[in-house]
Amino acid sequence: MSFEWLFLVSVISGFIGAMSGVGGGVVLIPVMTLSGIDIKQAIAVSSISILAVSCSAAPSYVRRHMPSLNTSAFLEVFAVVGAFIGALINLVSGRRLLFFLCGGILFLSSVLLWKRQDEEGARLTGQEKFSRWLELEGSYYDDAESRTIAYRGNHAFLAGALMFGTGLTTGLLGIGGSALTVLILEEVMGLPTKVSLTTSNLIIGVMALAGANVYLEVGLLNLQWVVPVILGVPLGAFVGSKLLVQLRNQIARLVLISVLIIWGIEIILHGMRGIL
Amino acid sequence: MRKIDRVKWIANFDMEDLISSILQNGMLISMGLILVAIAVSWIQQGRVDLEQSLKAESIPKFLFGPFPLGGAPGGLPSVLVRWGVSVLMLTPYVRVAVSMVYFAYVERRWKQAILTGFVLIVLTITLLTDWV
Repeated sequence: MSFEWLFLVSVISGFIGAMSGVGGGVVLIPVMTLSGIDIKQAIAVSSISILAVSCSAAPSYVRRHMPSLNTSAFLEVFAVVGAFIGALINLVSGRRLLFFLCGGILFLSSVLLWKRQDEEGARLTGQEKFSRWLELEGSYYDDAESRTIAYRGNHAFLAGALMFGTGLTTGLLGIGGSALTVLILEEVMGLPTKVSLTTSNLIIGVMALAGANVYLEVGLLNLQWVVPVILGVPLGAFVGSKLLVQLRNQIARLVLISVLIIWGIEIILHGMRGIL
Repeated sequence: MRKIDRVKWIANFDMEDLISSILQNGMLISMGLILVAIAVSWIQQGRVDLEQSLKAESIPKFLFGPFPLGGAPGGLPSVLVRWGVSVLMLTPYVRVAVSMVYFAYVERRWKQAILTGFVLIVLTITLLTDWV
């Protein structure tokens, strides 16, 4: 795969990753593996692309006070441990079954997201004791709706347990961390879509770092592929992050659902072809 | 710092701005180092030659291992790319460290400080030690 081609793919993956909150690997891993690159090397490069998406998309969100820093501080505890263990498992395991399971979970997740039609304003619900103790509440100004939206995070304990699984998946597969994190933030904790998307952008950076270091130790990071990814992903992510801030909530949700379905199909097809 | 000065300082301090700057500058420095590496490779060899695996037991060895510069496989461009990748990898780490300091010493929110402190410890262990 040439430098120029991977650079272009990286720009697209950065754009989709930042705008939908699914990370950079959704495009990168299928394209790289279909081009004949070893899946483990593609996963390692994907972990670097997730880092790049996080570092380039998150600043504009953070400056607008959109992510929930308290929520990310809590969930990162579980995510980072899961990601590290996941990356270690990656080194010793065959992964076809896990890919099938992951594809199925993503289809299920996209159906759940499609069914739910709540608006941002309906988010100020009750809060159980543990989440209140963790101070998982906040507000942000929504440019598209021209008003301040307040929210309260819920079910922190369950979200933490699920984040460990998400970290495990990200460390193992190099993809899915952001999509699953958004689902946890939205479906389990009840945060608004934009808060979920932007908070997940912070969390995935820490998750990817835990995995990337393991891949670095075993020499799975190849300069030939790492360099175009580091240069291309931020360009796409920068444009994607600017677009997200101006998008209405339903559009962000539709983009996320579409990407989840595409990713599910890709993963199952990969497993069926036995190229993993 | 006097109590009244501290209250004023906290009121004017924007944590989100600081985190945003750390992430943005980390990404820009990383990209800058890699672009310089490509330029040096082009000047030295007339082409971009980056076909090699990055490998190190820990981030410090990865960052400081290839000295003297000429001794690294791939020469100066390889060293610059290593630094670029290292800066990118250390950016979220610095963000977590700064968050912990902010929660502990500025806002005195101990719950969040302990949580980010735990994340920082786990990341430090994975970055500094040879697990594989």
